[in-house]
Formats: sequence, structure tokens, C-alpha cells
Amino acid sequence: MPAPEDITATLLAERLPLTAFFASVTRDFHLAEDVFQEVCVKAVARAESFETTAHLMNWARLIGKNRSIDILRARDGRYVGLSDEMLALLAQEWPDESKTDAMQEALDQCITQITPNNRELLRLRYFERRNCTDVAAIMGRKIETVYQALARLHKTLGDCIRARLQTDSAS
Amino acid sequence: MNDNDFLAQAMRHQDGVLTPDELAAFETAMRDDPAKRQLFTDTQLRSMALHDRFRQEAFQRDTDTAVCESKRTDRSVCVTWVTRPIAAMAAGLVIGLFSASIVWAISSPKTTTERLFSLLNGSFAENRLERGFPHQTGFWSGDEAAIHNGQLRFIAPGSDSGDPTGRAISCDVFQLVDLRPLRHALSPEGDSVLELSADFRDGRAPNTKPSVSFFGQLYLFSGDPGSLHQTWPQSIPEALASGSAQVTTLGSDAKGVRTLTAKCLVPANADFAVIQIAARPNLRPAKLDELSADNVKLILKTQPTLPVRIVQR
Repeated sequence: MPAPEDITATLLAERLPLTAFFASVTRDFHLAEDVFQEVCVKAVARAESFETTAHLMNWARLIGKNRSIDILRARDGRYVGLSDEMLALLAQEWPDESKTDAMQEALDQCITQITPNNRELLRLRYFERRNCTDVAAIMGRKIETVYQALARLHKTLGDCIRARLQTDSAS
Repeated sequence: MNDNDFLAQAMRHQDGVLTPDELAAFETAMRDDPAKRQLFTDTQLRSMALHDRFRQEAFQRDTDTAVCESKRTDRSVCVTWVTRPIAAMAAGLVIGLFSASIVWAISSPKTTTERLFSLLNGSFAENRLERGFPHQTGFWSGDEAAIHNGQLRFIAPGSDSGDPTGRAISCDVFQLVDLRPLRHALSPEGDSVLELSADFRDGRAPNTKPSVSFFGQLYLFSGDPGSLHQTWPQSIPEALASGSAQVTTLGSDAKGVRTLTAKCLVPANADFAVIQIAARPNLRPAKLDELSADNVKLILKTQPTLPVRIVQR
């Protein structure tokens, strides 16, 4: 059974993968971070019930998913998004921090290789939380063009990150 | 559905604009193909990492020119940090901060209590504001700003004394808060959350450019608060925990004053907190007219171990 301080340390280390999973439900990164904080508080309050770290993580994903859906239902009157079945399937395969830490380091390198325009596109999207309709208006592009540009950017960054991780593991 | 089409649908999913049929097809693609599930997972992780990275970058002094000087023609669309009080678990709670004194009353707490920390002059009733990163706890200090009519007015961005060559991108005002006297209030299980809230007002005419981002941030450190000014902001990565909230505005609008709330778990070895409130014009140079902050509060939320009581000091 992990000690309360171990639970806090584990959850803080797993912040990125957990919030990314919650964002798959909330579709809002800030809201996902709020859910993460609530999950942390609840986890420490019932520390004695966790038998292993894997048990804790499974519980955190489940509680965070349910809390996210509750918030959206309270806010919007209903939840529209990925089904419970699909979220359960994703949760089973969701990575932990051992993989995401390396990804973040690789991302820091890869993002320096994109053009200023593409960087601005990502900034509007992920810092200013603009949807593609807003991004299109700001950048003077068509909405469909923005969706395609973002898709290409994610593919480019994903390929770059994979290549860097392979190089690192080979060396 | 090829990978590019799938990624474009993933972006639409993030925007919440997939129709029921499109959402079903999106799910089917993931259900039938583990590689698509992996692609979705990677995209979500990368998106969250980008969100973190840009937020972190906003407070680094060597921010990329493209970020600092982007041409903006955006509409008046504002973003807000969405928060819900953990106090939803608490029943009946009254807290007040009056200048330098602290009053709190706790009534019938069931699972959570709140305590207001000794953040001084949070309502800017006293006209004490110094320049530079503070050297001690208990007062506001930072870039060029002024206290006027019970509000903090941001005047001009400034660079940090610990990094004089850094670019001045935002007007930052700080207060150091000693957490040690209130350490006994932390739950022994460690389930305590520190919450910073502040009201921000963009009093410029509607749709005024450049857009301005307001920030409320808190960082928890161990050690001596009196020496942090020597290494700020390079010491930010040494923070034990941190929380951040932001909003971007284009002058006044129907939403009026924005209240931001940032929060973070409190590690048992945290000795002091750095409270940072800031206004950052998104195109520089820019004058920071009509931008102000007020009603800054720092609240500890934890599980109760004491019976109901009212305390004043």
C-alpha cells in the first residue's frame, strides 16, 4: 500500500498523461487540470485503499473521467463526446510518465524546427485556447485549411519525436 | 480514414464540432485499429505538452520573437481559466480579509475547511508598493505599477533584476508569503490545496489591440524567502509545486471583471509561496493603460481536524 506522500509524488509525476486523458473527455486543457487537482485530493484522502501504484492510476483515470463527465453534464446539460466503452479502452492503453517525460524533451527540440507561422498556429490553439474557427479568422485562412494545417503539424511533430526517441534509445 | 484525415478529425474532436455521425465514425476507426488509438493518445499527450510548454514560455524572459511580436487581428474572443471550488464539499463557510488582519469563520465543515493565508494588502487598501522582486514577505513589489483607489494598476512591463538582460514582456507584481506559521493547519495526510484568486479588469475600449493576457501564478518553495530575489526567475524550476491561471482580453466587454483562480497541492516541506499577478501585452511595445487587479486572495483548503470555531487575529 503506497504511503500518502508516495501517492502525491506519483500523481504529480503522472500529471501530464493524466490531464491529457481527462482532456480527452473535457476537450478543455484547463478544465482537465482542475479535474486532476480534485483527483489528487480525493486520492490522498483514501490512501489506505490503494494496493499498488497501478491500482492508484486505474482509479485516478476512472474517477477523473467520471468527474469530467459530471462537470460537462452540469455545465452543458448533457455530455457529448467519446463513449464510455471507448474511454475505457483508451484508459487500458494510456501511457505513463516513463514515456511522456522523454516525449516532452523531444518535443522541446522538435518545436524549434517549425516555421514561425506554424508556431503561431500552435500558440493560438494551445496557449490562447482558440478553436479553429477563431484561428482561421485571426490568421486569415479558411477553417478547413486550419484543420489540415494542424493535422500536418501534429504528424510532423509526431514523426520528429519518434525519430528522436529512436535515436536516443539506440545511442 | 488515413492518418491525416484522422488527425484532422481529432482536432475537430478537440473543438467539439464533430457531428454524431462523425463522432461514431471516429470511434469506429479507433475501435477497429490499435494504431489509430495510439495516434489519438499521442495527439492528446502532445497537445497537453504544447499547452504546458507555451504557458511556461510566457514567463520566460528570452521568449521567442514570434511569440512576442505576432501580428494580431483577432476578434474579441476571451478565454478563462475554468475553476470550481473544491469547497463544493464544504458546508457553510465565511471568510474575510480586511487589510492586514485576518478573520475566518468555519461553520459546520463536513469534509473541507478553508483558511485564508496571510497575504497582506490583498485588497490594495494600503498604498505600499515597492520595485523589484521582493526581498522579504508581506508586501507587494515588482515592475512599474501603482496602487490607486484600492486597485493595483499595471503601468509598464519590466525585466527582472536577477536577469537584467532579459526582455521586458510583462508587468509582474509579487508578494512572498511565509507558509511556516500555518504549517500546523496542513492536513497530516498532505491533502491540502493552496488557491490563489484575483480579479482583473481591462478597462480599455472594446476590441482594443493588442490583446492583453492577465496571469495569476503561485509557486511554492522550501528555504529562505529572503534570498530568492538573487536567483529569480531562473529558480522557478526549483519550485516544489506551482499553479497558474490566465485570461486574454481585448478591452472591456460584457463579461466585465475576470476572476482567475490558480491552485496547487501543498507539499509538507513548502516554506513559502511566491504570488505573482501580471499583465502581458501581446504586442510590444505597448502602454498598459486601464489594466488593473484587485481582491487578491490566498486560501488553504484542507480536511478539518478541529471542531467548529471562529478565529480572529
